Amino acid sequence: MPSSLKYFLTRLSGSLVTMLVGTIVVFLVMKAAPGDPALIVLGDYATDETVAAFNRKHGLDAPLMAQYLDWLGGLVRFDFGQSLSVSAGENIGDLLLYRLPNTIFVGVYAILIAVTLSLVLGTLAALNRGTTVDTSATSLAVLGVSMPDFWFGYMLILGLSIGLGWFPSYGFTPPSDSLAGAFYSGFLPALAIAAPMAAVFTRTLRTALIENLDREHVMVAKAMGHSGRFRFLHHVFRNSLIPYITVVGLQIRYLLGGVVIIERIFGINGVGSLMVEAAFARDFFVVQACAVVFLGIVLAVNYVVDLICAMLDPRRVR
Amino acid sequence: MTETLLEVNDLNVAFRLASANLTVSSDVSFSVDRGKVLGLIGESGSGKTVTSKAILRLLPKNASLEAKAIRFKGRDISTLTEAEFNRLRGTELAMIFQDPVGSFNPVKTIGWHFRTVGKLHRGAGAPRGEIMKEAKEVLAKADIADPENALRKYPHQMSGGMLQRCLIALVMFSKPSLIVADEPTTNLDNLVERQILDLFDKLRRETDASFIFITHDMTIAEMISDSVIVMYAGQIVEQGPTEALMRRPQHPYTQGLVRTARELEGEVETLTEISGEIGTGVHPENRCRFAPRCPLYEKACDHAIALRPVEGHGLVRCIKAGQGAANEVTP
Repeated sequence: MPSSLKYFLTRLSGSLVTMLVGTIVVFLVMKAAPGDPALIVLGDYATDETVAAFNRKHGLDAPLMAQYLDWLGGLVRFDFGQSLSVSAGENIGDLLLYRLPNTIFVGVYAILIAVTLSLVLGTLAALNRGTTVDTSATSLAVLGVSMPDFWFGYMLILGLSIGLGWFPSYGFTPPSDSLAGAFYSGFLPALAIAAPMAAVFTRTLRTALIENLDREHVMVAKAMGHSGRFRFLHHVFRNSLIPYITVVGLQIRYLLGGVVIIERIFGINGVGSLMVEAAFARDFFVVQACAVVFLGIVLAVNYVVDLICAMLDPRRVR
Repeated sequence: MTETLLEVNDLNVAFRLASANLTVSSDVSFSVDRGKVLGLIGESGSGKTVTSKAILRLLPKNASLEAKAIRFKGRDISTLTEAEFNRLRGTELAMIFQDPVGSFNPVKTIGWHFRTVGKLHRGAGAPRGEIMKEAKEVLAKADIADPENALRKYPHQMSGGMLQRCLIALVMFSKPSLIVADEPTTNLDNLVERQILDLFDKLRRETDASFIFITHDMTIAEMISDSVIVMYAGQIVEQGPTEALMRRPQHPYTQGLVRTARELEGEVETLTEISGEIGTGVHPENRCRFAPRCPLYEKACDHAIALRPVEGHGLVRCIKAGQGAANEVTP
């Protein structure tokens, strides 16, 4: 299929260009951020000589363009440089490699919860349009979008950890140590991130299902003698997947925003908490690296989602 | 020897709305003979689509359907459960809709539609090659030049006319006895419309299927049907063999329709129109429903008018029918 191959390649090159622009933005924003890394690492009483030596050592005295290209050249080789202050001298790549699995685990966990909840609630609401079931599911969804995830996180701790004692209130067992432990200790943070997403997914699915239920081809399928189950699966649900998956893909960026906060609240050693720690310590290289990793994840997920949607919707590939 | 395939007896359809109950089909009775085409005529809102959808039980949930009996092949199908009734859909009773583009699932190929319908009616164990071979045959019968290629196509890759052929083929694929065609050419341009009508004409000659052909175009009804029912505001106002009805329409409404059709054929400068608009579905019980628009209206029309046989014609719902009031319509 040459036309679809062409589509995939065009989208891929688009993503790469976005990535490149993203690195420039990340780099410039970090340069514009207040605070001199040398003074933060060396202290306020450092002499001009030691500051100059520090800047020379880390290439911070070079022209802006050269600094960017140097950094970009490293990125291409997955070399993110060294940490300045958070974990001084340590290779940032190693830091990320240690922390990324935790973040991905919690993120995927949250998506699974959100998708499961929304599939059930969205379908129930659409099939019982206008009834109490629909109103309850829709109200639950409104509640979900209205709650900030950090607040909901604390409420979960208050209720399920401190109140009922079912879950730990702090700390996370990495999946590499114990998968079951990771699922258990990661449940509350994942649920806190999942709640607002589940709400958006539910509403999207409900609207898409209702719209597709009224389509002419569903009636035609009924006139042909196809069962209600067949019509729902192959005509209504199947076609609703296209907007649904698109929205799931779009929510990934909010997911990452949520991860940053939730990791701090629940004490998860992830990329999000690393980024916050590094920002407080003015560890520019680490913050830049984390931002680029997040950017890469968002673009990769969006790319995959686009491919899935292209497969689901033949009208999209020409 | 004609055999009655479908017999509808006093069909009533009403819609429950927030404000009121709206009757859209009142005491409709008719029958379709095997191998014949019944034309169902009327303007938008006359109840023709609702009547035909009611036969296949395709009405929305807020519609209520009542009938003394709907007999199909001698059996009353109005009392069947939904599961029993569903076994008739596609295999015995089928429907072709107005919008061929919207009739196909846009994300599935034409072949998928044939494969799933084939599996449904031939059993899950039916060999796929056999199903697809038959699909190609029926597509060829519907004048699709390259069936192999058509099966691979997605709906958006085909024209409306091609899709309507595919839909007709898909319906014929399961060999139903009665096909309801709801304005199947309305969304097509004139040339394609003519081709599709020719296709219907060919199919009715080649198969023993019966058709209910819904249209608002008298000329089409005349061309394709053996008998005609004219509906107005949810009631049958005239019913009879096509030729007689077209030559000597008895009801003033039918006369208006026929006159306009003749004028269209004759390319006159101005068309005679039936003034006014069709009502809203709430009709006073003690008055002829066509009265507000009728050129022949008089005091005597102010009571419920019954459908009655008129010598030499079919059934007419007008007190003046057969009294010499109805003149021959000449082009």
